[in-house]
Amino acid sequence: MRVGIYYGMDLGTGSSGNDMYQEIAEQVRIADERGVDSAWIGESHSMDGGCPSPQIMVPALGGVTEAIRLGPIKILPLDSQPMRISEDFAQIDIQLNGRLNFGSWEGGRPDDFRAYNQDFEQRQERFEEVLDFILLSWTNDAFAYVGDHVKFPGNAQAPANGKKWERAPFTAPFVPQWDVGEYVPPHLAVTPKPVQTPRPPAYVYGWNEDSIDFAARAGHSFIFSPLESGTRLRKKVGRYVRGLGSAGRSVGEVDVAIIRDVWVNEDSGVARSQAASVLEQAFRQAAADGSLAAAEGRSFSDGDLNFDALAQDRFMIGTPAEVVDSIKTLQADTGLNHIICRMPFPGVSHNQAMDFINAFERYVHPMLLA
Amino acid sequence: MSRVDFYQGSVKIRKDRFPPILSPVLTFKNSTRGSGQVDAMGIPFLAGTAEQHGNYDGWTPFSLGALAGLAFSTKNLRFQSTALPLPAHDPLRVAADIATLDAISGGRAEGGFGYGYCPRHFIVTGTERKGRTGRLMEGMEVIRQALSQDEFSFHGKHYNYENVRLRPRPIQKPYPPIWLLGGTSPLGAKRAGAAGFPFLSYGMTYDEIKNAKQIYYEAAEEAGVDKSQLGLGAELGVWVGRTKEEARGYLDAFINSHEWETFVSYGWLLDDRAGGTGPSFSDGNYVPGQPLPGPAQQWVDDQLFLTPGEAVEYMQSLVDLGITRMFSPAGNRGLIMRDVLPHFVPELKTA
Repeated sequence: MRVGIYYGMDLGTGSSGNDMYQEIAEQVRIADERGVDSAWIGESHSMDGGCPSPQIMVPALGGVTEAIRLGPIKILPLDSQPMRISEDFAQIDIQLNGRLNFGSWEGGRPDDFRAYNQDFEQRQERFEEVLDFILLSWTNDAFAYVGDHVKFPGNAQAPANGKKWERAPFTAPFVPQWDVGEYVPPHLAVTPKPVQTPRPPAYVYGWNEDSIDFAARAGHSFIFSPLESGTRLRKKVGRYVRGLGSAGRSVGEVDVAIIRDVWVNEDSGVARSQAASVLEQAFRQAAADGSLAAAEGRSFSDGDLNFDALAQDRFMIGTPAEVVDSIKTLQADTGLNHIICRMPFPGVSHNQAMDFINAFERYVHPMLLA
Repeated sequence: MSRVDFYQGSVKIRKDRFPPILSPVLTFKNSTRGSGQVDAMGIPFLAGTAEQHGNYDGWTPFSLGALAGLAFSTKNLRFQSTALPLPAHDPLRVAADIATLDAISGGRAEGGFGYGYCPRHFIVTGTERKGRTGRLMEGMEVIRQALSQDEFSFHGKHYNYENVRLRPRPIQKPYPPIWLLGGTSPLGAKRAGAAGFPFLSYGMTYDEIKNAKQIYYEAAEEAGVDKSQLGLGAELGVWVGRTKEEARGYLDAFINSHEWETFVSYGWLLDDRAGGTGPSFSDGNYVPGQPLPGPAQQWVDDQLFLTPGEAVEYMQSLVDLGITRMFSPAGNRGLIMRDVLPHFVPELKTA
């Protein structure tokens, strides 16, 4: 069982914007020292305290950590130049010396797509094609890709093989770049390449059944959203596992990663009081922007959004023993092998967040490995 | 004694082809370690990194991301892309990178943008080299508005955005500095002045800088731009040694180990004005004194080989001209840190 922490970057600002980012860096540094396996950064636009560029935040965290794996949890396919995403994260994997986890999703907020002049209605097919391109660019030398949403390089022609992409045909003699002058061939390589071979692991995030089916077919790991109830989550994981089987794949090839709102304190009442208000606020926010309804497939009344109602089938909050029990039950039901704790930060104080990381690594993580 | 901002740090990622051969991981680690040492001096030196796209050696394609690796581990360095070929990028995406870097570093990010020169940079990103000047200036304006306005709309010839709210807001007000870098002609100075952006010249002699200054401020005056953002910087082309011969030796070593590859492989100073013709790696390594095609040879001829005292005198003449930002002289680093920079960075005397 791997353990991660996740900063959604969508819960507003702390007392001071810059201090908040510094505190996240300090928390991830401590998590690295204590033995947390992964840390994840959300992508959020138009939001105070947010992070529109995990491409900046992730390498910055790499500069203060040694072993923890780092990654964006949900890169959006917004960039009009998808090869920029390939380049950015290949370089970041070098900066992290091979510690990158690459998470992406189709997107959920129309405003994000409007700002970058992308069509929200085509987000699913754009996402699948962009991810396909990115992963090919990391594992191939000179190639050309001509799809509905991606054209690489700019002078590429549609491949003659009927597919979206092809490797550069070998023609003797080989001419190095420095001898071709201004001529740029129609097959190019994205450089540099990532450190990890064959490439950094790809994770798909979300709740969308199309994405679950896509990830299963392609053999990508899946990160299930914290918004869904436990009951619904179990059904979604079942769909993913069945999809893997239908594609001739084994669940052992992938991470079944689940984000939950996990909070630990030696006193169960303290744990609830620390996390309750910020979690309730986070779910009210998710209800307001439509993501909760999209994830759950139903609307929520005000009464559904109080902490006690939400906690019944969602949160893992309590003493270490209670939390271990909840995680192990979920593991037995789903095959979960990577639990990712969403940090209710900056709603809780920096010191409380540090206490949580210390307590989790001291009391919970060892029991999950036992 | 004058105060000048100097470039001292750098971050680099590439497969280094020259012995000792280093992996990209090691070139990154070595360069960040060096920049960390510069940061420890407690002086707000500038750290920059150049950007390339689609080249065989994997040279840093994401300059702001490379610099971000230092954001949480340093306190003094300022970070600038030197230079980011903006016409090959989506400017809103670049603005988001700068805003994020500024927010997490406590207000130490700057934009540094150039036209881009290598045809490969454009084709690999699906853009065109043609029209790059218009896209550069319009892109810089998009970035200025994105960084300075709570919400902005922009409708230009090349870019269109509607009601965009960029978050987080940068810490620096009214917005992080945005420099037009690498201008080799007075025309660049004129464009920067007319648009109200600070301008850093590259490869200009003293007389050319003096001329560019006049053009820059006249253009700014004529356009009526906000004068608070105006400023001039210069890449010096100064090599320092105990003797001129020693200083010249540093240039030859630099061309051998670095700039030769930049000429023959990326086309720097060749493709623009020599039609893509010129020497090749296949012909062998650079031989000191070997003639180069026009613009590249002109660049070599314009370099100055100076003793520390002469370097201080020359740099002071630039300060007197109004230059407030310079690339550090190259050459004998010990001499430069001891006998040159303290004349312009008073804190160095006590560091």
